[in-house]
Amino acid sequence: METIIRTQNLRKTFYTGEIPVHALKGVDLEIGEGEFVVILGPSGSGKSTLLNILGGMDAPTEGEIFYRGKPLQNMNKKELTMFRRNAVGFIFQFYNLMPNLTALENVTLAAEITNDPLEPRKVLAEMGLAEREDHFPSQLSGGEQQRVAIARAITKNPDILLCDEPTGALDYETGKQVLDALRNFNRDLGKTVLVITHNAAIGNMGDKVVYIKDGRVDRIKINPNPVSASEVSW
Amino acid sequence: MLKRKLLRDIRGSLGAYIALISVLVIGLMLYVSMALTLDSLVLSKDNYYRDYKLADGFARITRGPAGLVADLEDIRGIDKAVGRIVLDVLVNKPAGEETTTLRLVSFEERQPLNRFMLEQGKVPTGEAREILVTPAFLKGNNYQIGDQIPLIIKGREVRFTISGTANSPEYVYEIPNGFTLAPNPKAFGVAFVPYSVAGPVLDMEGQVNDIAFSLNKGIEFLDVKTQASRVLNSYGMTSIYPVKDQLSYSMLTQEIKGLEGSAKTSPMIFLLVAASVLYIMLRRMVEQQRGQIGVMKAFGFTDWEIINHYMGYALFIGILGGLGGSVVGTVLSYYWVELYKVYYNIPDFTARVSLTYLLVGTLLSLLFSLFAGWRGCRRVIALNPAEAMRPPAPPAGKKTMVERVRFLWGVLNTQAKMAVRNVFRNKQRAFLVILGVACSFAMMVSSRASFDSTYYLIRYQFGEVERYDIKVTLNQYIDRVKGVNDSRNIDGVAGAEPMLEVPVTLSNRWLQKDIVITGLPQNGRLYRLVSAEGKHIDLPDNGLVISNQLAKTLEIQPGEVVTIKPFLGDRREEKVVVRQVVPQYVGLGAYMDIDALGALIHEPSSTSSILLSVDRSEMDQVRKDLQEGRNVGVIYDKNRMKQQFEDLMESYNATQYILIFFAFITGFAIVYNVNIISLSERERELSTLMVLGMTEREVARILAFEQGFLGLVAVIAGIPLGYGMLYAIVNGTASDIYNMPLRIEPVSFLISSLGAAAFLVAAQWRIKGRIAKLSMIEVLKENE
Ligand SMILES: Nc1ncnc2c1ncn2[C@@H]1O[C@H](COP(=O)(O)OP(=O)(O)OP(=O)(O)O)[C@@H](O)[C@H]1O
Ligand SMILES: [Mg+2]
Repeated sequence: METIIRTQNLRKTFYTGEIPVHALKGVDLEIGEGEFVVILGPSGSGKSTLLNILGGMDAPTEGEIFYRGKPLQNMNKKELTMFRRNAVGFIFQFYNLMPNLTALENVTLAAEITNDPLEPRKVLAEMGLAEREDHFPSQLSGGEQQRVAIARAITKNPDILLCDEPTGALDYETGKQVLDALRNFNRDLGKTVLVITHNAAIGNMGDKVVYIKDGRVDRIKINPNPVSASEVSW
Repeated sequence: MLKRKLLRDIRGSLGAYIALISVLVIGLMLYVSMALTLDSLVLSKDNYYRDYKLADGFARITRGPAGLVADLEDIRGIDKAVGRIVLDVLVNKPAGEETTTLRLVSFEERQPLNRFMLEQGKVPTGEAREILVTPAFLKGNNYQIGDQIPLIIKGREVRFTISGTANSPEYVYEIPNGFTLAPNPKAFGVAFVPYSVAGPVLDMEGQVNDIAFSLNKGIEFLDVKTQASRVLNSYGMTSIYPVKDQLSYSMLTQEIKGLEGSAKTSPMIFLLVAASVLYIMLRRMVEQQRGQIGVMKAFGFTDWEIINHYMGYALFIGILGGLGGSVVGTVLSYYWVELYKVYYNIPDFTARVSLTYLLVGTLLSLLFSLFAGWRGCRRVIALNPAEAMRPPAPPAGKKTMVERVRFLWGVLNTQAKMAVRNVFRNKQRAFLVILGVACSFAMMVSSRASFDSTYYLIRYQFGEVERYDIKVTLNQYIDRVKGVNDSRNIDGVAGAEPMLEVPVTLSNRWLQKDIVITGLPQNGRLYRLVSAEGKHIDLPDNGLVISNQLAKTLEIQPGEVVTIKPFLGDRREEKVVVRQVVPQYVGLGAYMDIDALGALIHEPSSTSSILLSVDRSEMDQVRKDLQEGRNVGVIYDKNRMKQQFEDLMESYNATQYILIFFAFITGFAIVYNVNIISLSERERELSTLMVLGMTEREVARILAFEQGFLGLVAVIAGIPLGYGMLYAIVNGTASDIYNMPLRIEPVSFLISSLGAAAFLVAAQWRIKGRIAKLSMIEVLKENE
C-alpha cells in the first residue's frame, strides 16, 4: 500500500490570545492510499487543527507534511488552492451548503471547478437524494443536508476525503447512513477517508484508528476486520 | 461599555463610515452653500431694487417731448414716471480692436425712478461732457477715472470724460439684448449722462425716447397698459413691458429660480442615498448582532437602552456629516458669491456665515440619519431574548423569476446562478443599489449633458442659423437696396443681405406676446431657418414661421391664424397664418418674408439691419469702416459672440467635473458599503467556496457578477433618469430669453457608463482585498 499522506514532527501554535496555544506538538503520521482512518480524541486535543493542515487550509508552524511525496508546507497560496480543488474533499459538522443553490446545484458547483468530477446527479442519487435534487437546503433535514454535503465532496472525485465530525449534529440513524456513504466511497472507489469523531464506537469502522491526545498521536490501532456502519452501535 | 463597542465597531469598518459620511457631507454642502447664496442674493437684490427705485413698467418710443411724463402720471394707477434718452453708440477705436457699444442713459438730478448708485468718483455736474460708466466697463476696458472716451455720435467723434463709476438696478446683468447671454464689458457697457448734456449732443433736446414708470400700491401693470399705450402711441411706441420682462431683471429672476430648484433637489439625492445606505448598514448590524442583543436583553438592558446604542451610530454619522457639510457649505458659498459677482453687479452682495444654516444643515442631516437609523434598528424591540439568542432562520433559498426564462437560465453556470439568486434574495437591497447607482449615473449624464445641450445650441445657432459674420443694426429704417449695395461696396465684404425687424404684439385668442418679427429675403444665405432635423427651411411667401417656444407660449399650431399688431405705422391689426414651427433656443423668434413684412408696416422697401459676410482677413478693416458709417447703431460680430460663449462654457467646465466627481463618490459609497455588508453576511458561504478549492479570484468573481448585473440594470435605468434630470434642468431654466435644447451626446453616456464602471470596479477591488483576508478555519469553526 502506498503512502498518500505523511507528516513529520508537525507542530502548530496559535498566537491569537495572550499566551500561545500549542495545538499540535509534533505529530508523526502516515496514511496509506485507500485507508479508512478514524481519528479519536478528547475535545481540544487538536484533531480539527490537524485535519485543517492535512487539507491545505492551514499551514503548520513547524514540521513537514507530504502529499504523495510533495511537501505541502512549501506550497504557495495558489498551489494550495489547486490542491484543495483537485485532491481533497471536505465534510464539516455543519454542512455549509450554499443556501441559495438547490441540492443538485450545490453538487454541480463543486463539479464545475474540478478536473475529473463524477456526475453530480448520479452521486446525489447514490446518496438517496434523487427526489430532492431541486430542494434548497432550507427545505432539507439535517441528515439530508449532510448527505448533500458528502455528495458535494465526493463529486469532485478527490483522492482524499476529510470529515470533521460529520455525524456530530445528526441523530443515531441518520449518522449511520452518513457513515455508510463514506465507507462506500472508500471501498468502491478505493479512496482515502479520514473521519474525526468523539464517538469511540465509530472507531470500529476504521482500518486504522488514530488516538490524538494533547496535540500528539497517543497511539494507533490497526483494525484487521473493520465493521460496517450498520454493525456499529452507540 | 456600549460606547466602547460603538467606537470599536466604527473603527472596524472605517472605510464604510467614511464613504457614508462623505455622501452626507456632499449633500449638505450643496444644500447649505446654495441656500446661503440664494438667501444673500435675494436679500441684496430686493434691497437694491427698493433703495434705488427700480421702475415697475418700461416703454420705448421713437421720440417724444419730455413733458409727456406728466400725461403718464395723470393716469390712475401710475405713481411716478420718468423720461430718458437711451441710445447705443459705438466707441471709436482703432481698427483691429473689438467693437464696443456703449449705452448712453440720460439722468436728471433727484430722478424718482431707476437711480444709479455712485461707486467711485463724482456725479457729472452737467456742464462739461462728463459721464459715469459701470465699474465693470471701466475695469474691463482698462479705463481710469478722468480718461476720455471717444464716441461716434451721428458719424462724428465726440469725447466724454469719465467722472466716476456707478451701477444701476436696471443693469444688474449688463447685456445689450436678449441674444447676448453673458456680459462682456469689452463689447457692451452702460454709461450715465446728465440729461442737459445728452439732449444737445444726441440731437434730442427737450425730448425723450425711453420711459419708466412706477405703479401705485395694489395696481398691476396690465391695469395701466392700455392707457399708457394710448398716451405713448402717438410718439411711436415700439414696446411697453412690465419689470418682469425687463432684460436684466428677468435674467436675474431666471437665475434665482434655477438656483432655488437646484438647492431643493440635488442635495436631496445625496441625502436620500446616504440615508438608504445607513438604513441597510444598521439593519444588517442588528441582524448580525442579534445574539448579542439577546444577551443584553437577558441581562436586563431595556429596549430603549439597546436602541439607543444602535441609534448612536446614526447620531454619530448625522452629527459629523451635518457639521462637516454645513461648514464646508458655508465656505463654498463664498466661492459661489464670487462667481455670481463676476456676472451680476449687485452692491452689498456678500456671503456670510449663518448660524441658522449651520443648525438647519445639521438638523437636516440628523433628521435623515436618525430616521434611517430608526427604520434600521427598530426590530430590536421585536426580538425577545430567547429568540434573539437563537440563530436567525436560515436564509430561504427560492426560485427566482429569471429562472422561468429557461434558455437564459440554462446557459448560466452554477456560480452565475448563485449570483443571480443572491440578487433576488435581497430585493430591497438590490433595489437600493440600483437606485443609488442609477442616480449617480444619471447625475453624471445630466451634468455632462447640460454642456452637450449648450454646445449643441452654439452649433445650431451660430453655425446653422446665423451664417453671417457681422450684423449691422441701423439707427433708422433705410432703403433696402441702397443699404445692401453700399455695404457690398465696402472692401472685404463678400455678401450683404437685408433684415427687417419689426416690433409687434402677436396674439392668439386671449394670449398675447410682444415680440420682434424678423423679415428675411427669399433664398437668403446669411440667416436661415433650420428644422429640428437640421434641414434648411424655405421661407413661405406669406405667413409666419415661429419658434417652438413662442408656439408654446401662445398655444399655436402650424396652420392656425394669429393677429399681428405692429408697434409702428398705423398699428392696424392684421391676420396671418402660421406656416411652420422651428426650434429656437435663444429668444422668441418669428420670421416672415421681408416684402410681406414691409407691406404690413407700409415700409415696403426698408430694412433695419444689414447682414454681412466678410473675408476673415479683412474683418478689422470692415469693422472700422462700418464704425464711421452714418446710421450705424450696433455692429454685432457673430464670431466673437460665439467665441465668448464658448469661453464662458469653458469656465464652467470645472463645475461639471466636480459634479461628476460627487456622483462618483456617491456611487462608490453605495456599492462599497453594500458590498461590505453582503460580504460579511456571506463570509461563511464564501469561505466554503474557498475550502472547495475556489481561488480568491473566482470567489470575487461571484460578487463581481452580482455587482455587474445590478450595475447594468442601474445604468439602463439611469438613461431615462438622466433624461428626466436634464429635462428638469432645461425646464427649470427655460424662459422667453433662453431655453436649452434637450440633448445628450452618446459620448456623455459613454463617459458616465465608464464612471459607473469605474466605481463598481473600485469598490470591487477593495472587496477583493477583504476576501484575501477571509480565514477559512475561523469562519467554519463557528456554528451556523
Ligand atoms: N484559530 C485558533 N486560535 C487560537 N487557538 C486555537 C485556534 N484553533 C484552535 N485553537 C486551540 O487549539 C486547540 C486545539 O483545537 P482543535 O479545534 O484542533 O481541537 P479539537 O480536537 O478539534 O476539539 P473538538 O473536539 O472540541 O473539536 C484548542 O485548545 C483550541 O482552543
Ligand atoms: Mg474539532
